[in-house]
Amino acid sequence: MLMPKKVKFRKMMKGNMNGKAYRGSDISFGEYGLKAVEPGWVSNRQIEAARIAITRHVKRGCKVWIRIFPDKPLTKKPAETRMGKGKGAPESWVAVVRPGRILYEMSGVTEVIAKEALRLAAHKLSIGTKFIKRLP
Amino acid sequence: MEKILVKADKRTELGKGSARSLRRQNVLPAVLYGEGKSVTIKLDRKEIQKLIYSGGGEHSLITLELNEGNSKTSEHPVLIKDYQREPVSEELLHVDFIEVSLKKKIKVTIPVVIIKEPAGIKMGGILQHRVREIEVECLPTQIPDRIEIDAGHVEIGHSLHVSDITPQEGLKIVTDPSEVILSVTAPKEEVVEAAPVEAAAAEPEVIKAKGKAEEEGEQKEQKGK
Repeated sequence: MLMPKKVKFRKMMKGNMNGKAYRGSDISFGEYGLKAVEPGWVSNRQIEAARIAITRHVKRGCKVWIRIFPDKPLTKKPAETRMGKGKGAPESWVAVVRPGRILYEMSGVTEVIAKEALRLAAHKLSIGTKFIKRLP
Repeated sequence: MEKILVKADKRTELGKGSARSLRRQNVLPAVLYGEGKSVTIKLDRKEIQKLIYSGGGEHSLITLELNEGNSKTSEHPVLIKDYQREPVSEELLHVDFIEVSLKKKIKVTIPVVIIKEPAGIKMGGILQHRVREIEVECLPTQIPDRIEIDAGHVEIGHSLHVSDITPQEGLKIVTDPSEVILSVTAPKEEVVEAAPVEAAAAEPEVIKAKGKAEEEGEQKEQKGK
C-alpha cells in the first residue's frame, strides 16, 4: 500500500480542495489516461484497488503509471471515545485530488482495452473521472 | 507542406473580464510577438482548437492574416509558442504566437512517429516510447510535420536512439543523440502477494529537526535536575 517513508509531522490539518489541478493535468508518459473531474480525497486502498483492476483486465503487455501519491495522513478517534482529549491517531493515507488531475496513465494496449480497464478502475475511486487520450 | 492560414483580429479589450466575455462568445484571446513588438489579438476558438488538437498545427508554420481595422490586413509567418488549456474541459484559454523570419534558422520540436510495430511486441514485449518529440534546427519553411521512424527491427531488450534518425536535407537534430526514443522490454508477470496483516498500522518515520531534538534533550536534562 502506498504511503510515505518519512514524514515531518505525524498529523495534518484538513486543508481544502479549492481550484483546479493546473499541474499534472496532461498525459506525460502513456497513451491513455484517467482524469479527475471533481475534487476529493483518494485513499491508498482505492489507488491500489484501481491499479489491480487495471492490471487484471489487461493481463500483460501493458505499462501503468500512477500519477498521484497519498501523502496526507487522516486521523481517527477510537470507537466509543468521548470528545476532547486531543486529535486521534493516524489511520489512513489519502491523496488530495483536484479536478483536472491525471490519476492513471497506460500504454502498450489498444484503446478499447485501455478504456475498459480504466472504466473498471474508475469504479474503485470515490470521485468522478473521465477517459482521455494523448493529443496526436 | 501545405500552407496553414489563420484569420485573426486586433484586440483592444484587455484584462481578465473582457477575456472571459470573449471566451463566452467562442472567441479566443491571443498574443502575437516577436521581432521586438507585441500585439494582442483574437481569433475563432474552434478553428485554432481543431488545428492544435489534430496535431498538424502545433509545430507547423502558420500564416496569420491579421485584420488591423480600417480594412487593413497584414500577413505574418508565425509559430505557436505556447497555449493554455482549461484542465477539465480541455478547451483552449489562450495562445501565444511568435513571429519568425523566413530566412533565419530556428529551433523547433517535431513529433516522432513510429511507422512499423517493433518485432519485439509480436514476441510479447512491451513498447516504451520515451522521447515523443525531438528538437531540430531548420528554416521555418522546411519544418516537417513529423519525423517517421521505422522500428520494425527492434526486438526485446533493444532500443532506438536519436542518432538512428536520418534527418532530411536542411534539418539538423539538436536533441542529444544518445537519448532513447523507444525500447522494447520483456513483460513482467505481476506477482500476487498475500495481503499483509495490519499493514496500515505501520507508521512512517518522523523526521525531527536537529535544533528541536537538542532543545528537547536540554529540557529533559533540566527536568532531571
